[in-house]
Amino acid sequence: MKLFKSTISKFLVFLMLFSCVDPIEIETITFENYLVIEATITDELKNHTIKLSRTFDINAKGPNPETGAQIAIIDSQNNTFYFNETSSGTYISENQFKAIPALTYTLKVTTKTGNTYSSTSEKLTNAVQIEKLTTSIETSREGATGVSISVHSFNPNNNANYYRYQYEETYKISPPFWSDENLIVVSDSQPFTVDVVKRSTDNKDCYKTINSAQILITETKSLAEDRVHFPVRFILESDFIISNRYSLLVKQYVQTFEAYNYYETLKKLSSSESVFTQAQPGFISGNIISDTDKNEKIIGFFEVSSVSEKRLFFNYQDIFPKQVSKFPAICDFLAPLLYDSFSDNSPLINLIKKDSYTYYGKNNTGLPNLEGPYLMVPKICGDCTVSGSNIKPSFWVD
Amino acid sequence: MKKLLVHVFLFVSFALSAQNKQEKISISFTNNTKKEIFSILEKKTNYTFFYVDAWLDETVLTDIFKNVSIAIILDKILDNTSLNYSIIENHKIIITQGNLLHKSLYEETEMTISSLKTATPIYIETDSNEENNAISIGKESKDHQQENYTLKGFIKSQQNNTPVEGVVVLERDKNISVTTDKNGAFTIVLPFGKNKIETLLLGFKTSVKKLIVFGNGTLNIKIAEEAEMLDELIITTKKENNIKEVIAGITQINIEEIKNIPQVLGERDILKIATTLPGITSAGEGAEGVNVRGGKVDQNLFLLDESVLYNPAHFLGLFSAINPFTTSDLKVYKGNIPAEYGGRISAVFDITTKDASTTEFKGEASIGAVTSNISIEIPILKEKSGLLLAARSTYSNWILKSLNDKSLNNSSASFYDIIAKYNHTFNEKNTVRITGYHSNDNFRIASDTTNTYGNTLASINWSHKFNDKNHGNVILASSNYAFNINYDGTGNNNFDLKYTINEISGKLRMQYVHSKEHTFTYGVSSKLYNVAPGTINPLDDNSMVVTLSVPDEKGLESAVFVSDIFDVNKKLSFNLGLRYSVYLGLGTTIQRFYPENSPLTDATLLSTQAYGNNEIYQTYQGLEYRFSGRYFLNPELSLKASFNKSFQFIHRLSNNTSASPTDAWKLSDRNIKPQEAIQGSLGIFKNFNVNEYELSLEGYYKKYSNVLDYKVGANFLLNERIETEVLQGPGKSYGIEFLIKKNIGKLNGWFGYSYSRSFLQLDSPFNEDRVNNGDFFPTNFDKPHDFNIIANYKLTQRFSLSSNFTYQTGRPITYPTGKYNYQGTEYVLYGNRNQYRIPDYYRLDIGLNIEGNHKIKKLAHSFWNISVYNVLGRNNPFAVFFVTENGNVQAYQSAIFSTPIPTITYNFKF
Repeated sequence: MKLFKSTISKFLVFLMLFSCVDPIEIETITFENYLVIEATITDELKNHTIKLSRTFDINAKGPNPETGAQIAIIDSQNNTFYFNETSSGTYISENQFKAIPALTYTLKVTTKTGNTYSSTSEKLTNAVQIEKLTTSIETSREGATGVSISVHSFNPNNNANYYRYQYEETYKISPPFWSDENLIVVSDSQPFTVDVVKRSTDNKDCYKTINSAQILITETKSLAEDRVHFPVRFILESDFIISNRYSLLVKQYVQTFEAYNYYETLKKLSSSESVFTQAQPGFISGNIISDTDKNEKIIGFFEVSSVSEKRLFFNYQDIFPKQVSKFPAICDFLAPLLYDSFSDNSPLINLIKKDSYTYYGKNNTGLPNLEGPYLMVPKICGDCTVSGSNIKPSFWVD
Repeated sequence: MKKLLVHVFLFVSFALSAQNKQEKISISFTNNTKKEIFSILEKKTNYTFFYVDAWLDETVLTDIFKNVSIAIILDKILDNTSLNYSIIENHKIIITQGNLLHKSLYEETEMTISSLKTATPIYIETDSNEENNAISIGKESKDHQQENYTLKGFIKSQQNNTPVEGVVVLERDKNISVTTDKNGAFTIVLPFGKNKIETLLLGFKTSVKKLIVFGNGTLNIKIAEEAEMLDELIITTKKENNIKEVIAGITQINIEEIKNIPQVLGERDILKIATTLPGITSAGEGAEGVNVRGGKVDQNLFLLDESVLYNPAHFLGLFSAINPFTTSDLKVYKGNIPAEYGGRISAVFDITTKDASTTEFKGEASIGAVTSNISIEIPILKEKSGLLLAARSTYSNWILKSLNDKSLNNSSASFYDIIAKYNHTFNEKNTVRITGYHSNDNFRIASDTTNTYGNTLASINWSHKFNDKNHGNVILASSNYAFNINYDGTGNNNFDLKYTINEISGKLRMQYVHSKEHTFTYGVSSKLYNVAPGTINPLDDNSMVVTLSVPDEKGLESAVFVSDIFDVNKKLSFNLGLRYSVYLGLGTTIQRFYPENSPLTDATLLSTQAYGNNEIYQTYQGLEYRFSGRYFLNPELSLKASFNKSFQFIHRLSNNTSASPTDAWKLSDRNIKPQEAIQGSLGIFKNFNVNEYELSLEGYYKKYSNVLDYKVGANFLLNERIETEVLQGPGKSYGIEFLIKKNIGKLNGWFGYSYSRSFLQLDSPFNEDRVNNGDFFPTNFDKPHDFNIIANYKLTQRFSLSSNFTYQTGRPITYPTGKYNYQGTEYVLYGNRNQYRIPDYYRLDIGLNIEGNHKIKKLAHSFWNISVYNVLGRNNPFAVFFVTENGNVQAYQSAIFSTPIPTITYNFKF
């Protein structure tokens, strides 16, 4: 009976979990070349950035920037804001400006081939401030524990309703076997000589910043109030990025219904909901059209968004006080001999030259397998620049 | 019916010829026992009777015969007894108990039987169930002995004395066999001496006879039907229907036909079988519903005892919601829908539930790997009324729950359905049938969303016979389909969403047999729809979701219909139907007005108008015609044509490439127009070899208007402005269907092939309303080649093997034509809709049926079904999709059953 039950259950698991979803190679059948416009201007006074690119072949690596275009944004008072290409495909406004509630804005793009494109005229969306960011311990659908960071905002006017989020996460990296000293080679021929010196670069603490790469949207239209409680980021407790100190900057863009719809469709078509139901894929029409060819498809949605941002810091111990974070790499010491008479060589100098290990300290362990005079650790365990940048971001608060 | 007529005709003519040969007798009896009658006859005529006294009971008879043959007298006397008689050597009458030596009235050859011991009176025990003493055939000739002799005879059913066709008469050891023809006649050549013949036919008890063949002779055999038909393989008893039926494009599936067909997950599935016939396809495993002749899933009317079944599938189409034990048969009208049905433009699936037995308590049950099923028939009033009850359920849920695997905690799947039918025959003229049905599904697949859906149906059908020429039915039916989406995630937006569609209908259908040429069917029907398109409620205290209800929709769909089956002559027949349909959109409602020649968007909305309760805000009406004709080119070959038009006032809103249970149904309103279809078809039908083979070739062309499709990314749930998300356009489909069926014999089954196409056009002056530049494009279920073989082979009495092979062109999909980067993430660019296809679909299934033993006295009849679905392990892709993961695009293909799936089911009847 037990065997019977287990066979059935395995069968059901098979049926239920649809293990029969297999990754496949994408073949190129035909390629369509369209212009992609990423243009969001906000109510922040700054030099706004617009990116132009083109679609690329399904087997190719992107991005495929569109260079040499003319871009302008015209408001309803006929003020024109011009953009200059600063790097290929990236265009930055000549002057600082910000979107103003009363006006409407239109995007105009002329490519180097002379094709012109216009957006519909868009109004600045209503402003809503992020109230706070909160953390909570949650269990993922797969059953793993982690920290969930949620955005809270409230708009008593009840006129924003559609929100898109971007985040920028920064985490501190402090290698567990860092030393302020370094080992340098004085002589790499007989007699082999090395010397312990103060480190020239600061590699004790580093920081790494990563931007969100998925569509994060929510709406409050169906809710009683224009009140957002949106889990924007979930990180497993075992994830190295929160093992030390972690910071998350969340940007909240208020969207129009049409823009929200555009992103929602894009999201729906780029994720799999269920093996049984597949959303009808197709081209998603945005709010930019070609002035000359009605059938030409343009990718992107020109948004004029009010934006609000908030930053959060926490240490691993703040969230998981009873746990100790683990460093993701294995940090085994090596202590090679300075001179190996058998091979008439210096294993220590060879190791220093390979640059995969770094100095930790004098070897006074007395262990038989650590015979040499100095303890060396894998570079990642002693040098933070392997995993991040040693420049402390200006916003960082320890 | 025609077959029956033929038999009556034969019967009469042979009776006459038999009588002519015999002398006429005039005689009368008054309160005489059989024994007395025999002696009177012996005295008055020169016939001699041979019988055993013990067989003759003491009942007395009184009768007068004038100028009749001896056969007529004997028939009368022996009526209602187990006795039979044979006349041999012109004047010897042998009375037999049991049924063997019966001289058929339509038999031409004289029967010659003599006993081995000629001195003793001849009586031969012929109980068909027992091996009996040897029967000698022919007269022993001392001068000449041939090697082989011919034995002729007829095989008839013991129950109703009708000839039985297709019985195999077998001399097993000598490997000689013949099959009876439609008159039950057989001719077998047997060697001189001892022989043992068996009669084999499914559904009948095997009868074994020991013979000693001395010369040519005759042997008639009566065979008894089996008490229960366990392993029926007879594909249909109405064999001539193929060529005779006037309505073109009708398919009938008898539940008995499909018992041996390999099953998936141990379920016998009448709808799956339907998809093996040409013209009926499914979008794939796990896709709900069927597509008939290039029509959409929502264009089929599923009727379960006259109530509309909105969702005929369980578990996303893997199981059918129709209980196989209680189903009597399924008729599919894919060509010409009779005028009495309306409201759907592709096909009608008319599912009839069995009447419960009114004489004995019966039951049937099956135990399978995933589901179990039980049905019982309870007689309530003897010979008057009976109740059928059945329930079916899956037990996957408790198995899932009992597992410790955490990843399954968020998955569940269960379903059940129950059906009850009460039939009551008040008298010859009045019968009432009441059916109730309920189904429920509940599933959650590794997500925070639980979906629940179910049908609830009830119908009452009163059938009344006014006189021989008129009879009528009054049918009241109601149907309810509801689904529920329950979202329980983290965050403040947990909700519970409900959708319900309800319909109540009444129908009066009268039939009037006007003359031999005309039979009229006429009547009225009306249906009230009530749709609650959605209510959303917060699921818990934390949820900020505000209770929201999209206003209810109401509509009344009514029709008058008349049709005439017009038999012009024996060869030419028509079925002419007309139906006038009226749809009224009823308030309370708020209708939205948009300017002409503008896209329907929130931005272009002109005005709204409110209508009060039951106020008519929109009327759609029109004449539907259903014409069909049949012409016999010769008795085995017919030509059929049909031409018809139909309307559909209700639409299924599906924003996926295949239908799903959470698709809402929407009534036509100001902005959403009814769908229309016109179909013409022409076919040629042939039966071969006395209906052993059926062949048909049919072509059709269909044109649709206002077929509903949707914009990319459309969201229909809780949407009050559906018209801004949907597109309506013309469609067309055409195809050729070929089917050959072998109905009888050890090997039977069918082979079907169809070539069919299905297209849709969504054109508009406005960019956002145009798909594929406004050109016709293939629909999601356009599968040009569809090829099916179903074969059953009876190995022995107890073992039968069956197999099913399917091949289909892969369905169209929308394929990427490039990629692009947007906000640091890679996305797929999709080209024109449905320009590419997933790989072709093919699958082989094999099944083995093992009968329990054939002991007569046992508690239950049982059989095992072992089947393997997808024996070849073909990984048939259901979908190909593209997912953005960690900023990069990855392609996947999904298949529902990519490995062979064995199942074993135990079935028993009691």
